[in-house]
Amino acid sequence: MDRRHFLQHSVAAVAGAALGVRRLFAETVAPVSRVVAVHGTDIPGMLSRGVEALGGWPAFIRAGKPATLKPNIAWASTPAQAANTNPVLVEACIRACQQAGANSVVLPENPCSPARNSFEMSGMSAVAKRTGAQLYALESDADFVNIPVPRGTVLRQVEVARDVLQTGCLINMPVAKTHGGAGLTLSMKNWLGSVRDRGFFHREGLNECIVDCNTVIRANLIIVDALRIMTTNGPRGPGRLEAKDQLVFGTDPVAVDAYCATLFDREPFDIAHIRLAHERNLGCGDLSRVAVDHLRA
Amino acid sequence: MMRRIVRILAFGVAASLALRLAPWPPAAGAYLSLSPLLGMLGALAVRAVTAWTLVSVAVLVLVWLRPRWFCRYLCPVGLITESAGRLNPCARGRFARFPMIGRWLLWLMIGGAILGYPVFIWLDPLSLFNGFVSAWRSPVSPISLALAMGIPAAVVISLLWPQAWCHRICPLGAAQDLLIKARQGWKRSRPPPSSDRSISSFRLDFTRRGFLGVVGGGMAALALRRTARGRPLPIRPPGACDAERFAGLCARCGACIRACPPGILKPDLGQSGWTGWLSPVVDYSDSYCFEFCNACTQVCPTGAIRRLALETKRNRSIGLATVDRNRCIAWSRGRHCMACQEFCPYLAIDAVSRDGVKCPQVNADMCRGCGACQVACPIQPVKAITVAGQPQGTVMDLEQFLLDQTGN
Repeated sequence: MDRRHFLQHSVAAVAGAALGVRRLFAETVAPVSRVVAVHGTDIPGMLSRGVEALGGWPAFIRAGKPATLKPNIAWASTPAQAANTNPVLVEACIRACQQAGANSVVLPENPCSPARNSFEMSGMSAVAKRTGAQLYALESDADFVNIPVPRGTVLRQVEVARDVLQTGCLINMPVAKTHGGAGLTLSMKNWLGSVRDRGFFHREGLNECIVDCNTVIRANLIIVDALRIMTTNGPRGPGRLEAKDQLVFGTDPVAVDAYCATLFDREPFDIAHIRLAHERNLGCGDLSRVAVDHLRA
Repeated sequence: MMRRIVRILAFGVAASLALRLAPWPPAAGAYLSLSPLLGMLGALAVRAVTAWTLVSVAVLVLVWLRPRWFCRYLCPVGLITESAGRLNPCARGRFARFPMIGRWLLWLMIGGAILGYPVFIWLDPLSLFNGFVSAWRSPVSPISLALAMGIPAAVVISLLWPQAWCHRICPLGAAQDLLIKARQGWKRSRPPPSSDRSISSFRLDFTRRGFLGVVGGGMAALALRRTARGRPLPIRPPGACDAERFAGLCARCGACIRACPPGILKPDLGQSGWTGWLSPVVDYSDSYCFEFCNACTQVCPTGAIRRLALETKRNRSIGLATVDRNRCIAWSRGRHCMACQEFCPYLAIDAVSRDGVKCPQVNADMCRGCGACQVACPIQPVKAITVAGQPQGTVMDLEQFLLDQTGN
């Protein structure tokens, strides 16, 4: 390399670095995360509006690849009780994925209640039948992959659903509820329905494990069902339901959960796993630095 | 020929119902309800008549019209023991010297049933057959196989003394023989009552042996009922009658054990004492009693487990959960857990805040003892929350509880 080239490269490098630093500084002031809250009652309309605001389905779905949806189907309870994700929302989402070119839509779930009853009572079996999506209970060894958790503090390795780890697009679709051990169950807590040994999480520190788990599972898109939120007796219910008529969209799980916590009139950092996740840089839980767009559909 | 076809068909129907091949849960107990012994003595002992009892009454009427009609057409054990007996033709007729055990068993049973404890009701042939077929449910264990021992025993007896089982031991066979006698007596008494001998001989037969047998059965019932007193109560299926009578009323047919979708009903091996051997007890080591299920309450042929509608069953408490605070990680180590509260279907676990950590406490007014908390508890191998048996009762309705909760 001659002198001229060296100088040219040096100038370019310095300029680039300077620009980068400026951008970095700029970001500390401007929002670092974005959450879209779509208000309304027309669920399919709200869904397409929210996804549109984040760049549209093609930004998430890879044509010809499978898409994995993770609604909450943990409990043998009816859609009216809102302990599981709204089946109308799940159906609309499956159809949107299919239209966007996903070659298959998979819904793996490790429910708390007996699987057959959870799937039937939640209305999810009927949805899967109508849409042709694959809804199945995680049971056998082959359904899981054991992966290391390099950034884990308590969890060193975890068995996660194969279809959650190996997919074209992973969409997390929790329903917003209160929770005995974790305070609230939102998007980060929803992965407990994709892992095998929940008992370990409870035994060894629920909040730490939720955060550890989120260092290895990251959704491409999060859609929180906050149409009716369960404010008492969660996560199973039956509990008091409050109509919020919202769907919350985002890609940053900590920001999405922080916003959803405010729907329960809770300070996001009072929820231990949201605070821990923020501290460990899994996302931004500080709502002053999150842009929340309110849309209507 | 016709009879053979009907018999084989009946055998197939009985076996497939016992195996629960029919999707409708009550079907598991349908064939059993054909036995007048189970249906009528059960009804006498629990003092309640159900639609299924009436089926056995219908069978009794048929048996009155056609002697031993039940044995000849419907009884699968009859088919098995007869076939076994044919394998030993040299011993033919040997049964005639066999004592009339069946008749005595029947008198004892009736005497016991009057006092709520039909002793030996588990010798009913349909019950033995059902126990044999349903015991092969996977996973097969030595415990479940204990229920299956009746049929092999009957086969061995039939090989040694062909026909002895049906004609000398089976109490249902004896009941039919008595009906034949009674019918003969009745028929002869209808024309001008010239010869009273047959009637009086029947009456005599009853007054002497029958009286002794019935009184003996009653005394046995009184003695056996006492054995259940002062013992810690095992957890029984919802709708089970009181602990004193349950061991006597249960025919050990295994229908409830077979019907239970999560498989938490197990034959007892000692929890309820020797009188309760092989009767169903609840075991929460793998699963819990589903809040949306009442299958076991729909199949009992004797009424030892009452038929409960799903709504009634949901408010029936079969036990009570207690938290061991030394084991619970929330109480003893300040960890966030509350898995028990999360899994409780009846909102029976309250959270007590202790240094900012929620700790579980059982609300005895709401707890049904379903075991969901015990299964969910992450503490191994001994759980920090466990269910113990209680006299069964009715607890507060969940909807009512919710109304009260939101009202406050």
